[in-house]
Amino acid sequence: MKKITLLNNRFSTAQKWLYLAILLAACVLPFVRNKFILDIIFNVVLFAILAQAWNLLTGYSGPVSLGHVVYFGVGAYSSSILYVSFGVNPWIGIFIGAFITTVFAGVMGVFLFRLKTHFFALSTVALLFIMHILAGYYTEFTGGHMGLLLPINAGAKDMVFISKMPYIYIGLLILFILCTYMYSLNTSKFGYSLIAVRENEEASKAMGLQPIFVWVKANMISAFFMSLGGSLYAQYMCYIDPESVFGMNMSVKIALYAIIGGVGTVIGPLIGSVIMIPVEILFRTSFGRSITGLNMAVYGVFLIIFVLYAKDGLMSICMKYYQKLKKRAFSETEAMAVKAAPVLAGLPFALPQNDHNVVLEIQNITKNFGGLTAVQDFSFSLKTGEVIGLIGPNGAGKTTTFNMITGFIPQSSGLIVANGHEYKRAHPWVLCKAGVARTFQLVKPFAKLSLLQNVIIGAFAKTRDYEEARNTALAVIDFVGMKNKLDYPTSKLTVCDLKKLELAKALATKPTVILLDEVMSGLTPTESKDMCVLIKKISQQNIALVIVEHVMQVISNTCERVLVLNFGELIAEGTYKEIIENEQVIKAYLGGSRHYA
Amino acid sequence: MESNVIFIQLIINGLLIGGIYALLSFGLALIFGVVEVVNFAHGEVLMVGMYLSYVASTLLGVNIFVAMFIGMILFFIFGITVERIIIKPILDAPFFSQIFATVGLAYVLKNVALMIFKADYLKVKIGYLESSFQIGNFCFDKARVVAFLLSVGALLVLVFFLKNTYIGRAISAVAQSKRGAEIRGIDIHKTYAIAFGIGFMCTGLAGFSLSTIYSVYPSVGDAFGLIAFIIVILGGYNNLYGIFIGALIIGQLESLSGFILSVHLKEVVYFLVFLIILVIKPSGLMGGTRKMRKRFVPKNKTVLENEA
Amino acid sequence: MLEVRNLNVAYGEVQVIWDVSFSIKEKEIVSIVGPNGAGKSTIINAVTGVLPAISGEVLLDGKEIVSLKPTRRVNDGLVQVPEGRLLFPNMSVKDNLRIGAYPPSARKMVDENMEFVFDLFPVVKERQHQIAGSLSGGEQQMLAIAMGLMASPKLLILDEPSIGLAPIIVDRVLETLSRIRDTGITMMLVEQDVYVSLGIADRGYVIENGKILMEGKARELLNDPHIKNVYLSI
Repeated sequence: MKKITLLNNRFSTAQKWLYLAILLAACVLPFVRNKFILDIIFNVVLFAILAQAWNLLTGYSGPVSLGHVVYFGVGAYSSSILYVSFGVNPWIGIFIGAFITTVFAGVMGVFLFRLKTHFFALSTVALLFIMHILAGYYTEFTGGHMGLLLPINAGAKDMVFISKMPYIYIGLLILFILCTYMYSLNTSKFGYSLIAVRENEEASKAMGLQPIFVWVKANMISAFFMSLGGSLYAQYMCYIDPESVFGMNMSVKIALYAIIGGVGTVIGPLIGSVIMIPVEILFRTSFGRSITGLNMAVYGVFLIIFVLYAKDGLMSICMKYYQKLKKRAFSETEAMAVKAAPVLAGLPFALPQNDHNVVLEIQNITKNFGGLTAVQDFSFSLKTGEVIGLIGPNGAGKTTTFNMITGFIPQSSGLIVANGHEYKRAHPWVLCKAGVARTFQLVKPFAKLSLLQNVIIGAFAKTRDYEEARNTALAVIDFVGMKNKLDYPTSKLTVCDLKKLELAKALATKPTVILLDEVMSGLTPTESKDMCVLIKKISQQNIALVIVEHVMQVISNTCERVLVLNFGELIAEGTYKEIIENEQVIKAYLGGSRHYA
Repeated sequence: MESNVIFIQLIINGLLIGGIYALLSFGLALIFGVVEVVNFAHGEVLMVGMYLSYVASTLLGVNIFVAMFIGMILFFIFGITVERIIIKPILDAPFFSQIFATVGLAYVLKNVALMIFKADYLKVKIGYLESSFQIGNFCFDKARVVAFLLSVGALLVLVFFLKNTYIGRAISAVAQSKRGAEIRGIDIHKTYAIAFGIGFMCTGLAGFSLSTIYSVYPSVGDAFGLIAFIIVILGGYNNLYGIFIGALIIGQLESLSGFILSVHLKEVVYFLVFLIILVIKPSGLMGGTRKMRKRFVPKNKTVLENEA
Repeated sequence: MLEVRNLNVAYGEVQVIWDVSFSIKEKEIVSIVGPNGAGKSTIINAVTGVLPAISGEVLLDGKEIVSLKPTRRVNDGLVQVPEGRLLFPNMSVKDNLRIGAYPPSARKMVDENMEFVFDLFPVVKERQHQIAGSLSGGEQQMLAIAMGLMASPKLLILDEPSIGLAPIIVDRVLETLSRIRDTGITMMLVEQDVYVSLGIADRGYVIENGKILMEGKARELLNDPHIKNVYLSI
């Protein structure tokens, strides 16, 4: 079972152990005299910072940044050039450098995150190589391939220490801050956003998230810490050159350490660094000196093996055994949540009864794909709490219409009016904020999270506060009748549960209208009946519903009005009884009246 | 008059090298087009080809053409092996795994080469190819011409193969519609393996060709691998003619800019061009209308879900 | 030719086909009709082997094929013309046909089959050197059927051949199917459009929610008022 990465607790057990370990290291350090061991410790701390920073972007939110070390290098060169060429004190320079790197990361991110995974990865490599070459080329600034030397005897006021220990303390401080930040993501909107866009990009859009912005922000925060690491490294070595700070080898190493330890967890990158670096240095001093390349070759093998057989790293292996021992599916904190869940009669945000409110209006939308018109001039309007059905034979244009209304494809012409605003081109996240929610026919749960956490993501669409989001989520889960499955991971949920989860996620966004995409498909007749009851319950909360369905019983059971599409056009509108008597509708479903002799 | 001659000479050189680049890029495009996996170890496969050429001709004294022939078979097996052992298990895994699997392979290959051959720049000796001949005002390097002819020859054979044999057509079919191919009785996984085999074969062959012109060292794959990526992006990964033309263009760029700019800046130009093309038109400047795969669609599944 | 007994199929944990049995005799055209979501495509997937069945038997020409891989079944003569056609748009029409002849058993007959197909579909012959993606919807459907025929099928399964086509084109397609039947090829027609499929078939089965509700001679089913109920759930 996958490790659940977000736990709802002030200080979880793992976090406590981590802080203890850091504290212990800090206390024991003054007694270590051996320079060689101090060097190893420094490298462990440095790589822990870098691997963790990389983990924030790739492990937590998805895009694989192969050339991530570019931010390390930009930070190192920024602070060093500021110091050597402009006399800026490194204690200040380290932050200016971090600022420069963060802005750089933001700008790069805006362009590069548009690329799909493999291409994004390639582009980060290209970026790294560009900076590598530029650093080697502009010799007046950077010292070119000969590198940049920092004054060794400058003294503590310039962040140059004789002993290695102060560097390690600074590193530990940076690491502490970074890890604390990572843990705080467990209970923050941004943290949930990261996992949502990673697990299911399409579904996250329907929850009001804009994946590119989430990634840009993650990239910037990650780059900030990479840069701090870079500047610290420069001060430690008193020497940097393009090969050491813009080196692809290092980029692969930090990824490898995070992978071995476990991406997507806070402790993973730390474990990876703590284990691998001493091993590598010892290995190198015993064998490696005579055979250049052996250690990187072994790293390559490790990478392949881990990616094939243990892609969630050592942490997940540990968690498996831990959970087997505890014999519990989940943590105690979620059990507490179940007990604490308030009992509510309805949703805490029922809309005021107002029959005259039009919550959604579709005006003459058309969709052309090349020469084919999939939807032609389709219009309807929807009032508060109204339940309408949208039906039609296969290929009638229902899916295209649905995707246009929910913002997933742009209409060729026509307007969508939601929450009083007119939209010529509405993106899903905009519509979500405007109160238009949807479910997906092929359910899109956020895989590595629990039921509760899934719904919390929805709740975050309308609030920034974790407590509020959680309360909303609890109320919604109670409303749909899944209170006893709060802490279930999505892998444990049945098909019917998953369908209800889709509804719950949509409800948590506090919508005025929910569009249901074939929500009954895959359900048994009993489950369908339950779902119909739930749908009625929702409409009683004054939330309007648009139901796209094949199963006619559902339509007849729940819809006040039915719209029938065929060949992209509206051919009938009325109550269910009216449309099934309609000649055109019958023809559309059964086929033209051809008779063969 | 002098500058005209130089200019045309540069163009000739550019065309000659472009032919080899085309073969190199073709290997990459085949794999990406059919299996839909980006092979981050592409440059390293090329490097292996170059080292093999060195070992065969310079160390073992084997005739280079014989070595090439045997090499082709070895690379075919190499490709199939990589597909079975490394690629097949991760076809459905998150992209993260796919990327790092081939990155890992790249590092293994590069560093094993480093371990065996050290970082020295090695030159392949082929006596009779080391001279050049003149036609009019222009000088033709024998090695480059032979390499060009070989590469173009191989490409023609491949295009013929793809169009006129059942297996070749099956490969094209899988690249265009996996499900469609499956329904017509084509074994998808076998096709993946063959695509890898042929892709590696092309790359290895390109390695042999390049080794007669450039020195070989462990990191030689970095620059050439990148050039292959640029050409594939430029030409469109499903458009063979586009790739060929793209390769000739890049060959020109290389030839001309090497003359005008310093070596280092030339590489920056490449990377920048690469980034810009990626951002503006990820499906290639001449690419077809093939849809780019969404981020999370599993590749191995052969049944459409939820048809009930 | 095809015999299916007590077939049960599921997608993961969700069972969608319940104890379905039907048979198709040689040289027959049998239609399976039903509303959207009834399970028609699932049955095709189970018969062709793409989706494994929980239980049940599938016999082709008397031979049990449940254990055979899909590619093997194609070679044995169980050929599908898929929904949505699934052609190879960047290849020429002729090359598409050659892909149709991919199964080893069909390769020997490729020239004869191609002549046969050109005779049946003059439009395909006319456009044989054109790129398949440039053909119109109706022409693509013809090509898809032709591709199926190139595989020397014993049983040709057609999955929603009328979808997205204008009525006139559908008529032409049906005409061709008639002629194919006349040459002795057995066909299984799966359709949403009742008139199209029952109009040309010998026998039919009506399926709903994964179960067979009605069966009988096509003409009788066509005139049965209950069909409307099935589609519109009254």
